[in-house]
Amino acid sequence: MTTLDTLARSAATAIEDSVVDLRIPAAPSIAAPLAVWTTAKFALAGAAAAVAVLATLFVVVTPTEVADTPTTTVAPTTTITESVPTTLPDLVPGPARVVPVPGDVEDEPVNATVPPDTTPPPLVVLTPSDGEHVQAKLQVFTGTTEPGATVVASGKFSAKVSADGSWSISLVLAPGANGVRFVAADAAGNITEAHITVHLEGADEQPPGEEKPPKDTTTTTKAQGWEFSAVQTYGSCSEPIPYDIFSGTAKPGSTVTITSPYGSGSTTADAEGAWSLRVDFETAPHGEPFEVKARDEFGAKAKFTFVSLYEG
Amino acid sequence: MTVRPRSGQRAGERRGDTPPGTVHAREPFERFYEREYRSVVGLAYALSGSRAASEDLAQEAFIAAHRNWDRIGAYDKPEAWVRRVVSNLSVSRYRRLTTEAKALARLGGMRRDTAVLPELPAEAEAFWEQVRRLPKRQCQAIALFYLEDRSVSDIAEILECSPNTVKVHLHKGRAHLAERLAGQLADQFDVDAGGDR
Repeated sequence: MTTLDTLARSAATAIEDSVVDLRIPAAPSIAAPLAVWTTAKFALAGAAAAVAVLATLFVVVTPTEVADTPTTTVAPTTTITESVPTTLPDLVPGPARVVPVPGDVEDEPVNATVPPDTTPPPLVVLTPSDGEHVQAKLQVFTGTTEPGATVVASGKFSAKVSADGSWSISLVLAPGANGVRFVAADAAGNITEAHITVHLEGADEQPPGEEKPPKDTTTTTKAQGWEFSAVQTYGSCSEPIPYDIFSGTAKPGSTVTITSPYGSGSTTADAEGAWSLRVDFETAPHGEPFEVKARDEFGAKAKFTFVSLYEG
Repeated sequence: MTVRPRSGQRAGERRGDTPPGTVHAREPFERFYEREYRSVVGLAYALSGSRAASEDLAQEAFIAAHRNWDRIGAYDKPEAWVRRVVSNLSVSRYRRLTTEAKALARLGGMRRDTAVLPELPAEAEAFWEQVRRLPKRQCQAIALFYLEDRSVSDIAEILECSPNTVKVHLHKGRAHLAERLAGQLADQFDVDAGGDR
């Protein structure tokens, strides 16, 4: 019988024991990171064939499938060995020296240049479409990009990208027009941007002709020479402990309270009437928007909506 | 929809991230690699549960470090960067494989194991399997805490969060583990995650 700590230490020791005799493969080198690094074998003839084989990544060309002379342009028939991993690192731009496996070919090592990847990843937003009018505040945006690329919405929300490059992300919309900017970035650092506008329809949408409030909704109540206002900074959060930051103005020295089913807090407005408060919504359910209320001690109120995007 | 490729700009670059001039790595990559390789593979093994893929995951992280060694090697703790990468890769892989395994099971297929690492004792395997089933951050925090004997502040640096957040993850993770491993634990579990070590 054992405690959790004892069991954990024992399990950790088992892991350590399993790698203690592990043979460390050669480190990647600047000159030939791929040739040295992988267990895949390269064999090729001529610089043209070198570039072709590098482009197909980690392939094996048997000696009988390669022409004998280094000057021959070869379009090798390739086979992928069983031990080759399915997810392979990208080529490193710059000079590369490809060394034939001893016994496979008789050619001298050849030098080739791997061109830098300057191609931006494709980025397509599939749903919703640009200009679409929707009714639900919580919208799932989907699209496609290059496998392995990352997609970030509005500069701070990371989309889930599948192995095939399809991605999705849930975002909360404010009433009216919502501009969403997506940025896809590949491993080489190339980026592509896409921007769409989605309109959230509903009872609380601003009437036509009125200026739409900023995404961080501000509600203001004026009385007795001072003004109560409240601003929501985010509206959603994908952190393990979701939170939002509220700020605004109130009567100097008065108390402002934020309440919700999943987290509350209060603060005091400073001498100039400014206040700010971070509220954690630790138990907020994933993907379910809920109401957050801000109010001062004189009855002025503001309402917001928050949703947790953490899926842990 | 407006699509504006900007190939000249690098992802993740922010103004002021890199000071003008060249940033020099403090330690040769090869020395760093040889020192850290086995423990990073171990971390990948614990978090991915795949004997076959652990080395691939570790290598993927090291290749990424090698590519940018001028920058990463100049960090105070480049090992933290590599661990962050490998832990994210490993958890993602475990979840993907779990999904695939379910699909294969439905189809009656079998996964071929081309493992190079030895199997763990049953008790250890059961423990790590439960760790892998924790939410991502809890899983990573628990692995770094027990496997690498990292302090809360170290884990916070690796996972890029605050020490208090790490304590929350450790607290919840240990509580979940105690519940799920109740059959193996006889003594009363102390769920206090403790302070920084």
